[in-house]
Amino acid sequence: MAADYGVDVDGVLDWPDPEVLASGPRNLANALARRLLTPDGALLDVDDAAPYDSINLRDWLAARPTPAEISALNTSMQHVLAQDERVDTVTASAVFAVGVITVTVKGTGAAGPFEFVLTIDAVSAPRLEVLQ
Amino acid sequence: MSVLDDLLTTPSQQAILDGEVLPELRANRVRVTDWIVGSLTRGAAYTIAKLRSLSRGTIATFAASGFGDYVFGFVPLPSWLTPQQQADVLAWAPVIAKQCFGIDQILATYTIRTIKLTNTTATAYNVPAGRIWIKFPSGYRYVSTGAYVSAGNDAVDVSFRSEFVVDSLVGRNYDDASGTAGIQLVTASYTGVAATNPAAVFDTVTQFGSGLGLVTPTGTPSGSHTIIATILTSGNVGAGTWSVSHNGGAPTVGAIGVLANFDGSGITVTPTNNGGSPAFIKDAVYYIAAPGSDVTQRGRNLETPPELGTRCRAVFPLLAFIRDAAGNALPISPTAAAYRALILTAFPEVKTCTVLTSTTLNDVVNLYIAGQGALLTTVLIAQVRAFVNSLGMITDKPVVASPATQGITLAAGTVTVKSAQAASAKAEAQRRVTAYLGGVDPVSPLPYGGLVDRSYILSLIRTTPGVVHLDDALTINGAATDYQLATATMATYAGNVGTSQTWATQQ
Repeated sequence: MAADYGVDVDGVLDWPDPEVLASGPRNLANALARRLLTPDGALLDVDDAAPYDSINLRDWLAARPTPAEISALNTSMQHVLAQDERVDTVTASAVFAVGVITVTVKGTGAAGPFEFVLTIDAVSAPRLEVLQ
Repeated sequence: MSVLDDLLTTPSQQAILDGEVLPELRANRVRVTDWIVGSLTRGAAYTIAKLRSLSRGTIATFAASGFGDYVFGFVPLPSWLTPQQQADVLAWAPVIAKQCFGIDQILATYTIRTIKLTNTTATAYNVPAGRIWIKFPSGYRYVSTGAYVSAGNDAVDVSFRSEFVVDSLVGRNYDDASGTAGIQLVTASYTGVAATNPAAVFDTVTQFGSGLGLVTPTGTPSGSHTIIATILTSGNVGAGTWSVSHNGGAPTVGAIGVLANFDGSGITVTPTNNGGSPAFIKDAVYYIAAPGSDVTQRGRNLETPPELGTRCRAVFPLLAFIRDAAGNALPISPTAAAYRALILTAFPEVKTCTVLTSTTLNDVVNLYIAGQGALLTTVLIAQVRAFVNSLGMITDKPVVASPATQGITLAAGTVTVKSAQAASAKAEAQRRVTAYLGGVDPVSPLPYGGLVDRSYILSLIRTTPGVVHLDDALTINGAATDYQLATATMATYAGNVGTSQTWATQQ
């Protein structure tokens, strides 16, 4: 059986209406974006105790990080994203500008390369653009 | 499974996932294949299962609260209910008591004391209530509830109440003894003013009933004493007759007159006519108690669900429905449980009440009452007597009195504790032992005349957080055995396990 990234409901944080399924790189992008928008340990609130590393980039919306801090954040994101068992290699870079955080993620997995851009601000829902 | 079993059963989140949510997804042919932690569908499934488990728990809690044995804590709740759910069931007790029995839960109260503020300067003070805080060496703080007005070079009595209501579960007993040295003024200092809490040798002699005659105690007794003098026939000193008892013992009956060192108590009881004729009226009762106390209201814990339930269930069998030989019903004659329910409901300061029928006198019912861990004032005892008498029972002759007391001394024994927890362990062990010997242990309350259980005291100390070992050398009043309290005798404890036992530390 060829490797694939699985099928799940197509959404990052919200349940879509009508319900649409996502597969392939899009499903993986949804899952990885979720790891960048979930407070660490949040799944314990619903008693899902499986190991799950995550960070919540929305905590950084009011920040004005130095280059060193951005570099450390990139490293943290890459560490978190690499915990997904479908990911073989991954890079992540964040750009902070006028209250918007733009994260570009590239990587490879068992079912091929993936790339997406996640945009976060304080007003709108996170936007995910899957490039590959 | 019965309907009740079904209502009380709380399936786990995992059981709901496996038995309801996932099968439902399968039945609806949901095509999700990504079940890796963090996936939306997995998260939704866990959330739904948890919500359903919580709702089933709420249903079980609500169902259990409808049964008196559960809601009042008389029987253990189903073991699958979580500790929080079990606490939720018991939390319904006040509501059920009020709705089904019309009875209010007795709330926790403050301890109120009379503090003497002695001003050794010529400076006058006029301090409104609530402005003066004092602290006893025990750490307990009290706040003034009356104004302090001093003209200088005087001593003024001011009423103070405890900082918090009494709660023995967190060690707030406010059981400071009268005459405690080292009371500090916590608030802005009042130069030259010192606080003390002296108590008279005798409590106020309280009279129940009419008559101008007075009864005056003198002497220097040691320990606790209660003397009750009941007028049997009206008359002046030397002419009337009375029955006098000491600490609930057999009464001495005779002409009204001086009783020197009555019953070996060290108390001389002196009656005087005080201008009356007859001075002493039949059925009047005089209460004498020693020592006196600066406490004017003995605070108490919030009534527990079992205590509340006991009062509630006593309501219905209140009337014993005694009938005479002709089969005619006699007016109200309470059962023992009813006496307790009546007194505890009417007088919240009364924490315990033991009912014992006399083994020597017909129709006499002895009602021994006390506050939380301490005796009550003669004033309150007289009030309770008046209340009980007002019920007008024909078949009973209730006698209200304080129980005799027996001091408990713990000694010997070595406790091994982790060094970092030594201080907290000593404090917690002291709280537990004080609550047990004070009759307010939540699991095993010690009744009057009960057995002071040595193994239970050992378990209280051994299970204190931080304690890692306890030897078997503990003694109770000098012996390494259980201690049996005499009938109608209340245990009192003024010791401190933090100092009476040896505490060895380890890393």
